[in-house]
Formats: sequence, C-alpha cells, structure tokens
Amino acid sequence: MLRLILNRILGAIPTLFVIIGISFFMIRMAPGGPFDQERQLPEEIIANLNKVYHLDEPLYQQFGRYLWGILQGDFGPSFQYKDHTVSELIFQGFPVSLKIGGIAIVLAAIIGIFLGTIAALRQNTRVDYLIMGFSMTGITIPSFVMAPLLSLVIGVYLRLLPVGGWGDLKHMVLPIIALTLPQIAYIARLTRGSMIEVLRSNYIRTAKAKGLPERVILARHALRGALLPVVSYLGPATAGIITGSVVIEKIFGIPGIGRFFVLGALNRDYTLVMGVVVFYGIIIILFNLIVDILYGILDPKVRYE
Amino acid sequence: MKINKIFILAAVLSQVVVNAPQILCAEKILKRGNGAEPQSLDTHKTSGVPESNILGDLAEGLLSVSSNGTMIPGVAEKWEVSEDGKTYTFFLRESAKWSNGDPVTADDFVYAWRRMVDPKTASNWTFIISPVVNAADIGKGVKKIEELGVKSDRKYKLVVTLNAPTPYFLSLVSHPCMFPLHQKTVETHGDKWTRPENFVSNGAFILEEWSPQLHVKLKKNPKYWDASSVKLDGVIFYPIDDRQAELKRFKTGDIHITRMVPADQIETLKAQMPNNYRSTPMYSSYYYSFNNTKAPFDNPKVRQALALAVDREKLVKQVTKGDEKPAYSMVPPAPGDYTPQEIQCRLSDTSDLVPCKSLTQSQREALSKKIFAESGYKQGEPIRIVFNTDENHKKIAIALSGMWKSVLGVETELTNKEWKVYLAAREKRDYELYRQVWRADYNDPNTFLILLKSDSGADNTAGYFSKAYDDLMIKGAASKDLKERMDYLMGAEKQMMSDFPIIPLYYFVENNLVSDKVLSGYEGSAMGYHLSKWIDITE
Repeated sequence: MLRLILNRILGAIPTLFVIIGISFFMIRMAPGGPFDQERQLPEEIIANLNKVYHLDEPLYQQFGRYLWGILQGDFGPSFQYKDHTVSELIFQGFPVSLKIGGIAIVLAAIIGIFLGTIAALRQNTRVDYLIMGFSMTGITIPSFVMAPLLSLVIGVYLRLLPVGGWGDLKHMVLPIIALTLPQIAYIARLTRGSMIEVLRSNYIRTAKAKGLPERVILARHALRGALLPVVSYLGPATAGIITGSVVIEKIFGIPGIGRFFVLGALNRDYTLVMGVVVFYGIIIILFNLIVDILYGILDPKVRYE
Repeated sequence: MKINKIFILAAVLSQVVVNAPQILCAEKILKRGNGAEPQSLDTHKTSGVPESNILGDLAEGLLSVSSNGTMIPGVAEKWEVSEDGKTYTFFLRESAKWSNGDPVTADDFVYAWRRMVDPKTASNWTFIISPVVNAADIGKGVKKIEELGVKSDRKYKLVVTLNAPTPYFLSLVSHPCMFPLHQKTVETHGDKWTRPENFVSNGAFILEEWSPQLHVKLKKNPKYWDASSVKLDGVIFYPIDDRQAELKRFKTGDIHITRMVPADQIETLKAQMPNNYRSTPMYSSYYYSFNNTKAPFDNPKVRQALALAVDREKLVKQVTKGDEKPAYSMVPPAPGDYTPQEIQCRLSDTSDLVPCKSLTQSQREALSKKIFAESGYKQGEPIRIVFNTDENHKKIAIALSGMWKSVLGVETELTNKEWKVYLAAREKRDYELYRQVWRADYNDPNTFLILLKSDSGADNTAGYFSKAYDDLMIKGAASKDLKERMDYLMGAEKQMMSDFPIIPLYYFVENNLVSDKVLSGYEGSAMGYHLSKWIDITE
C-alpha cells in the first residue's frame, strides 16, 4: 500500500509538469494580454508593466522562472488583483469552497446511496419510480437554473434564508442544497444500477443460501460491491466540487476559488489561471489516489502488492 | 459502522461551520453593491470604477466632490492660479490628518505624484498627471522623478507647474490617482501596504477588513478633518458582478444601493419600485466607430449615410430601454461653457445646414438614401460589426443591422468576441465597425475629444486622421483664455461631426436602486461620484 502511494506520488510529478506546460503556453496563445483595457495604455506604460511582471523576457525564460517559483511554493503575484499573491487568493478561497463542497458531497453520498439502495430493493415499484423520477429531474435541471430558483423562492419570497453572502451557517444552506441535489441524483442512480447487478450475483445467492438475514447480506456483502462504481465516481466528483463551482459562487456571492478560474482566464491573469490549474491538478491526482486505496479496501478482488 | 463514521464526520463538519455569532447593533452601516472585486486599493494600480468608489471614501485629494458631483475644497483649503494658467498653488488645511494622527502635508502629495510617474510603479494613470511639467519624460525614463513640476514648502503649500494652461486640472486633482500617500506606510510595507492592518489614509473612512470576493469593510475615521459631517459609522462594499444576484440581495434588504440593475428588468422595476429606481445621466457616450482606414468606410458619404439611417429614438425606447438619451454628438451635454456639437444635415443642395436632430426620422432616412446613392457604394462582402460578448451590445448590433438593411439594403455580419479578444481585434483595426463606450475620466470635453486626435494611437479606434481637427485641438490645448479654448474644442467637435468618423448613438445613464433607508446624500452625479461621506441612512 505504501509503495502504491509512493509510486503514485512520483508518477504525479511528470503529470503535473505536463499540465503546467500545456496550460502555460495555451493561456499565452489566447489573443489579448493582461493589461489590455478599454483605454489603451501608452506604450511606455505597457513596457513598464511588462518589465515589472517579467513579460518582456523570452517565453522559455518565463516558463523557467515560473517552474522555479512553483518549486519554492510561490505561484507569483496576481496580474489582476495586484495587492494579492496567487497563493493568498487560493488559500483564502479554498477553505470556503472546501467547506460547502465537502458538506455537499458527504450529504449527497449518504442520501444518494440510501435512496439508490431502497430503489434497488424495491425495483419496479412505486418507490423506485418516485426515487428515479426525482433523480432524473435532479440530473436534468442544471445548477444555473436550480440556484436562482432556490434563492428566489426561499430567499426573496419566503425570506427564510439570505440569498447571498458568507459568514454564518445560514449563508451555507442554499448553496449546499444547490450543490447537493444533482449529486444525490447521480449517486442514487449509480447505486441503484450497481446494487441491482450485485443482488443478482452468485455470491449474494450463496449468502442467501447460507441463510443469512437480508439485513446482513445487504450491509456486509451487497453494499460493499455496489459501492465500487459510486466510489470511482465520488473521487473526481469530490475534487470538482471542493474546488468550487463558478455558477454557485456567482449566484450566492460566495468567496470561493471557483470564480478565480474563470475570472483569471477572462482577465488573462496568467499567474492566477496557472495557480488554480496546478492546484486543481494536485487535488484531482490526490482524489484519484484515494479512490484507488478505497478500491483495495472495498473490493476483495483488488489487492495491491 | 462505516455509516456511523460518516455521520460523525458530517456532525463534526457542521459544528466547524457554526461560527460567527450574530452581531446586533444600532450602528449605521451603509451596504453598497460595487460590481467587480477591486483589483487593488493602491491608488496608482487600479483602473476601474469599483476601486474609485472605495478609494473616494478612504482618501481625499486636494479637491473633493459634493453629493451632487460639484468640485469643492478637499485637503486644499484654497488655491491660486497664475496669470498664464500654468502654475497652481494649493494651500492645504492644517487640520487635515492621516488616520494615524500624522498631519497631511504638501510633501505627501509630492511623494505620491512622484511615485505615480515613476516607471517602477508602472501606474495605469500617468495620462492624468501628464499636464504636469516633465511627467511624460519621467515616465519614459528620460528624466528623474525629482524633476517633476511639483514643489512643496515642506508644510502646507504645494506649487504645481504645468506644460500648458489646463483648465480642467482641478478636475484631475480630485481623481483618486492624485490622492496623497503616507510615505512611511508605503515604504515600510511595500506591496502589502494596502492591507487593513497597514493601511493609513486621510479620508472619511478607514479600511477595516478586506476579504477578496466577499466584501471591503470601512469604518468611520475619527481623525478625518471633516468627521463631523460624516453620518455613517461604516460602509460595506460588496463585489457582486451578477446583476440578478445583486437585485435579489437588494430585494431582501441585504444591500442599500445597487451598482446596476438587470437591463431586461428596467421596465418592471420602474413600475414596481418607482421610489427606489434611479436613472442618472452620465458624462459618458455609447457610439460606433467606423474603421476609417479601410473600404468602404474610407468613403465619408458611406459613413454619413449609415449614421443618418439609425433611428436613435427607437433604439433607446425599444432596444436599450434604460432611459438613455439619443445622441447626435460625441460629447454628452453637461453644465458649463461647452455646447456639444451635433451632427448637421443639409436637406437639399441649396438649403442651410440644420441639426439632424430637428428633422423627422423619415427625413433623415430619405437624406441617408440620397447620400448613399451618391457614395457609389457597391455591396461586396457584408460589413462586419464586432462587439464584445454582452446581451445589451448584441441587441444594439442587431437593431442597427436591421435599420441599415431596411433603409439602405446594406448587408452586415455580426461578430461577438470575448472582451480581451475584442480589444486585440479593435487595436489591429481588423473589422469595419466597432461598438464603443467612453466614460469621462475627468470633467472636461477633452476626455472625449482627445481620443480622435491623430496621435492617440490605439485609443483612436476609428483611425480618424484629420489635420483640421488636430490643429483645433492643439490650439485649444495651448489657449490661455477659457472661453477661447472652449471655442476651439467646439470647433474640433464640429469638424469631426461633419466627417462622421463615428456614429454617436446615445448618452449613457446609470440605472440603479436605492433603498428607502437611504435618507439623504445620494444624488445624481454625471461623473458617477457618490461619496459615502454625504450619505445618511436609518437603521
């Protein structure tokens, strides 16, 4: 197990290097630069700015400078938010995104697995249809529809919760609901599908033949197998959700890091985009590793030597 | 067992987030929507309106603005202008203090202005200070910062020498980039001087908290010289770039003053909240620039025909619907000695020139068709209109395209581009027609007219090169007499309006919502200044 973790971490280094390389050159290929604005700056000011931010150096030199910075944990200054470094922006925003994303994914996993299991056990009954109907709706309604609807009905009409801002628990409820609903829907469908398959498998039949009670079969044998596809879905989904949702953050005014990705790209804030990309890359790699480890625990067929 | 663990984890997580006890207090805190997250609170490194709004509350320049936008004494109690209009002497009030108690002296201005022109600062705003002697050369690195034409007596007298009489110089010194800086603070903390724990300012408020993408909190500055006029205990600026989200937060009482309103809901809001809806004419223009350097718009008659075919009344009433005023000049109307020079028309070859505005739309269209026929224009490829991605810009482009098609039979092709791509395309003059908005940087027609001077580089998006226009602008800039200067500028705009390098469409308005809780001090201001200093609220 330790060897697996070590191997994966070593393997992550070239992956990250490729990610950094591709995104570094791609963002610079986009037309326009960080200092373009409605009023065109005089040439000498552009030259001064380029000098301050080292944009006057050849590209390979800038790339080298950037890599050297990353090795020292420095993502550089933001071109757009000039009073902050990229690291500061990421580490101020990430706890916020982690908080709502983390709670949302835990809730979604619990509720989704529960609903999916029930639907599988009551296959083709009204309960099943109800749950699957709900989950189909959850999947098809995008968050940019669900979030404004929630804030309009619960926030503006009923005045139960604030429609935006950050600070208290009450500010987190609506964004978490908006983030959780589609995830519940996906997880419920996944669980139901794999549970139905598992319930038909030979080892469950054997367990039944042994005379084990239904509850024990479900908890000890069926759920374990049925969760495998859910776990592989949850890895990248968690990585995605805890690194912030642009739509949810914008609609509810949440100071997470999701928006920096889009704002950084739109503003050609090279360092900010790069910082978020690298950070996102690390999180994805981390969660894929966690999924692999969980596979080893859940699936008796998978053993890491 | 595993499920239990997950429950425990969820319980722990939810405990972690139950924090920040409710604070109930009777303080007067004004909550303002402020568009985007401020790029910086360093007066020399900002570029937009959101930063100006915050800095206007945090700091104060030589001159300040009243609640209705007129210039009033700020740190300078009084000032004198020399006979030749080139030397300004400001006398600073001795009661002006920094938030740490230090006196605000003329040295603080000298330091700030030298820092702004210093190439190492790489400030966006050096064009504001360019009338000051040697400012341009210092920016180019030819001269030293000490050679800037500004001197202090080490106490309360500041003497500024200008290259040429610049009547709008007083408007320039009220711009945030010309505010004083506390030298010790800036030098001690470097890039981190704008953090709340370091920030030292001289305005009505001080920086209390800055949480990126969440809010900027200010509290009343007890050391401010005019603190007795300040009615609020604090101000919170929220960076809300989504207009729908801002509207919802206004409706729930979360913010008192919005920055904007969703364009498609203006009519509903006017009907639903007539007491809250505000529409303020701005010193700002929305226009289209022809690419004068390329066919077909190197032909003045084609330009004129297209400009006349536009039904501006219909555009503002049925398309933009935000109480905008149809525009026939580039410079918007404003109080003062300048009369905007509107497009003139000649109904027949023998008749006199009359303002096109006074004609009916059908007369204008008839004239447009006649001029278009004379121009000899033959439709080849469709004319390409380019604008940056935005619902409002798109609607306007579609409307114009329809008007030109129905009146002149001209085919157009609409292209929208993401903002930075649009800017790059415009700079290269790749297309035939560009949409453009210009918001005045200072209160003088020069801020608009300078754009179309031959040497304005990429700002001259139209690629308009007119010797006559340039000459009038140069004469205006050199003129000592205020009235004479205005005459030259008006002459320049008149010349330009007869050449049609651009199509003025409408004068901008600022539409927003103001809560019933705002009692006083929030008035219309064409430059968009709304200092929280003047605002009072109930709470």
